[in-house]
Amino acid sequence: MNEALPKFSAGERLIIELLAHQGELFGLQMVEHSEGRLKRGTVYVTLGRMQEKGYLESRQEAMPEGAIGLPRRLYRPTGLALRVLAAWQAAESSFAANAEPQGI
Amino acid sequence: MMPGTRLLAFARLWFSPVVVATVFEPLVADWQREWIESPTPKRARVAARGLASFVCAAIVSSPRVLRTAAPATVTNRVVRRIASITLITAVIMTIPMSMQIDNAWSIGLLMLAILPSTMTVVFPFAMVAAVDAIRRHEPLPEHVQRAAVLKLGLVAVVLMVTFGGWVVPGSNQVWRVAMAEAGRQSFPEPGLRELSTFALIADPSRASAPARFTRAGEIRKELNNRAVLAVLPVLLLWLRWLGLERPRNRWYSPVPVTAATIAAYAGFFTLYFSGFIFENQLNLLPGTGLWLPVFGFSTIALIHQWWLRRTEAHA
Repeated sequence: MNEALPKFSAGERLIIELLAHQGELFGLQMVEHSEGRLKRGTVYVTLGRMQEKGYLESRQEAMPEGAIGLPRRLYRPTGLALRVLAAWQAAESSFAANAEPQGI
Repeated sequence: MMPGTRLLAFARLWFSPVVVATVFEPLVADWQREWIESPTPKRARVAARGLASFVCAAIVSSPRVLRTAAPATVTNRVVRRIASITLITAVIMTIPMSMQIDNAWSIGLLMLAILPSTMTVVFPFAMVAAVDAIRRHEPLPEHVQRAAVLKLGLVAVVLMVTFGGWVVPGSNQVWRVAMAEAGRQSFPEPGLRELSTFALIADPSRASAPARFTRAGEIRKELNNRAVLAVLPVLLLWLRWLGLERPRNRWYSPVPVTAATIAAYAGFFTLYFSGFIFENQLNLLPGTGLWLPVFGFSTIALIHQWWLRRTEAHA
């Protein structure tokens, strides 16, 4: 295997971190948990793009009988997304450790 | 009606099923749930926030509409039809002018110099046949048809702005100089139609205007004329699209493309010249009357759209 490590945009990374910590979430819940870093108008576009890239899986929520409105969509990260996130976190911590100033 | 229902229907018209399922349906589903769970006084705020996020998502996703490709057969058919209609009609329109000239050299020059002007006049009317070429041959998903018409409209406007603003003034200039050198007319200052749109806006003092009008008024009229011609292709695309939406096998079924094109020519020129009369009679600002065809066609399209919705609702 000689493939480069896939890169996440800031929004993509935040979404995967949120889902890795919180479990399955709806789009609007991600906006609420992100404390203003994800916007309602763009989060669904990012989620759609991440599904196309294979970083997310989704399923429709089960609607109780008599419920109105469209069923919401729940998202969870794929194994690929979690592996890429872990690889980046490892690379960053390794870089941070090596970049620490050495004592005289 | 739940918020977002109509907007979702709108998204289905323009975006692919994948984009609708992955972007717009989750957005509307979350919005509707938030709205249901909110107390009544807060619902207006939730509706407004949801609307803003829908508009934002539609804007961010809009490049996908432009990237929706129509099959090559459709694209080729549209290009062939526009090119043939524009060229044939433009050449026919130059014939009466060429009959007045006695030598072959001048006829050749006339064709070169006048052809761009006549092409600019007839090109917008080729849009009627272009919509038929997109919609009436092979069954395409509606969002693909809409994307093709949208892209055609954008390209047509760019072409009209470029041709009307630069190519036609350039060819008019060539014609004027050639005629002056041949001793057929005096060598006046460049007229309004020989200056590019940029020159008319940035350096209007270069233009000579007929003595009976003010220079500013004439420049205004010329710029309005170019703007009207630039938006005309979009209006004709819209009108023909709506025309083809009518149910078949009724007395009000879509008219054949030739009849629709002739009706478009007749309607445009009737309103265009009526605009001149209104402008003079009512002492309107120069160039205002030229917008009468745009106003007239837009009104017809809006009434048509309202009528189609009403017919669908009754059906």
